Amino acid sequence: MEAALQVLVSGLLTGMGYALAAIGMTLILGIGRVLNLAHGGFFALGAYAAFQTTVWGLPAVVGAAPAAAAGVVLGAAVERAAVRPIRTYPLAAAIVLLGVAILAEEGFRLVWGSTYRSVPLRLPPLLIGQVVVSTEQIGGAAIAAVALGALALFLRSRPGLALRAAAADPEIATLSGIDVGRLQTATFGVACGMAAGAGAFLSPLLTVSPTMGRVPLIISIAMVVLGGAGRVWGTLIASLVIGLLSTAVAFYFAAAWSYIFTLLVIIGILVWRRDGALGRAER
Amino acid sequence: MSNRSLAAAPRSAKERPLVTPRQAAWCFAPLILAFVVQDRFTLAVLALAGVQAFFVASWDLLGGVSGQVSLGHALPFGTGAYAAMLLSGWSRWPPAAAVAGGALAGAAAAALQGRLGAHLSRLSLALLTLATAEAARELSGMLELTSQEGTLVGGEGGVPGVLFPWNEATAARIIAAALAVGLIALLRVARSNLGLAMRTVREDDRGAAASGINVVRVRVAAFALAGGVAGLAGGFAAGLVGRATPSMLSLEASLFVLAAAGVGGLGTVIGPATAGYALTAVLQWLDLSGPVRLTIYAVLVIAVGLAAPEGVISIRGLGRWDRWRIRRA
Repeated sequence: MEAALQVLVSGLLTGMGYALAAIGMTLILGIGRVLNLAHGGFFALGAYAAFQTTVWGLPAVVGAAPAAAAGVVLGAAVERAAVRPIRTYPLAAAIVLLGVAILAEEGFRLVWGSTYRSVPLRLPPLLIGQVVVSTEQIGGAAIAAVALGALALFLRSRPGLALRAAAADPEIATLSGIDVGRLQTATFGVACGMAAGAGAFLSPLLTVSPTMGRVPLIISIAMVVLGGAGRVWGTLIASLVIGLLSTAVAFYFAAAWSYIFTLLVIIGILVWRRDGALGRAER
Repeated sequence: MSNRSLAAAPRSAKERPLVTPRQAAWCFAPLILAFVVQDRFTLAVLALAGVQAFFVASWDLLGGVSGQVSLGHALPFGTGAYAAMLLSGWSRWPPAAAVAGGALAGAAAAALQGRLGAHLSRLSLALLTLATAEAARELSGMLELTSQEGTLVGGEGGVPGVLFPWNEATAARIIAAALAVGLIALLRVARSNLGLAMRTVREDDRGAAASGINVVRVRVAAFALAGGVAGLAGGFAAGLVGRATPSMLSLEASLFVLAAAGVGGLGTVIGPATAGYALTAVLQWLDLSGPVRLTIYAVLVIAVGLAAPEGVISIRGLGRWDRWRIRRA
């Protein structure tokens, strides 16, 4: 019973962390009409930033702010240079972003080397009843929840309305005077910043290595296709579900099976929902 | 868009010879090279280049001719490698039979990918192929078997089989001969009625269905044929090192194919094969490390994607100036 409770709590906390990355991806799909296969690269950037802050003796969560800022700037730059010129070709954009992801991996290898690193927990863990939770993870999930709450409020505001209009129909939005191109760049940047933040929050649970971004990429894609591309709340619920189920699979079977489980979720939903799974990306 | 459909309008199978003399010359160039070269290191390099050219050419039938861009073509390649090693190492099949078995296994794996994705859009299909190949790679790293000698094989170390009893010269020549035959076969398929159907489906699947083409069958056939050739290449690749490893199913292998096919020009079969051959030969000759190679592939993929996002399919056969103008437009 305690084990199940432990799995429930850590699954939900993990799902909350990944939700930040997945909702970023779903926003890019909804507003930018692009499948960001470089999302994992930004996640890894955040994890390395967290690693670097622990090297300096600070808790990993502290690395999240500079990581998110770097993610925003780099993400916007990638959007301008690599996505905007080919936005009307969703497949080419996805493939180019895959190339960017591989380049990022090699960049991490140059800076931090190929060695596998772990991010130590600097704050004492909490014991709630019979369940052990790391303070960093609670902090990360709380910050993720606050960030998502802020996003929800923003989407209800006037600029948020412009964003939703751009997602619903870019051409009509342009006709009503919305600078859709700029919105798309901003969304891409913010979403990449969210991925980097998620990477920083989740880094203590993961092994930090140059190719570590691939698993979070697949997890984010699974959450997006399960929750519905461009749907923030659907993606949030899907994130919690997948976070919970993959933690359960990792706990009761083996950690490697949870990755295969996530891949099977993607395959299953793509086959079942057909193109609905990726929303309007190719419409 | 209009330029594209004009230039890429499917031609009838009888309009041009199935294989032009120039294409035939390209098909046989590696074979001639394998007989001219005497140096053992170069021959080993050429053998590997031939295998990779095969792999890229098979992808082009799928991604170029039939327009189904796969990000997981490593799946049939790696499946072919594993099947060939299991057949040669465990069932003691001779190399030729083991490679043929690899081809069949590759065809089956790719046909599964194609069947699952037959109704999907290009982007969803790309994602589906990526996910299937990643799942296979992950499984290959986890599953372990006990061999007849009682040792544990599989996992990240891969499955050992039989090192094909060929020296460098024989290996290079056999592979180059297989490549020549295989490329001509691929070209003939691309120019056949089936190839015509593939190109029609690529340009407009609803139109193709309306004119009586069974779209799903054509798509799955493209996957199966391409997977068969990729499985053959995988069988050769594993036979050259005597082992099938999870890296043969990896994203890196799929990325290499994308880079080479993009550089060579999608849908031309010979172009991607030549690019794959040259790229492998040069990188192997220079003995560059894995990360450096991967960086080169990534840069090539980005450059090709930005320069010709619609695929270079349509602009073949036009003058350089026309190509430039189409790209600008």
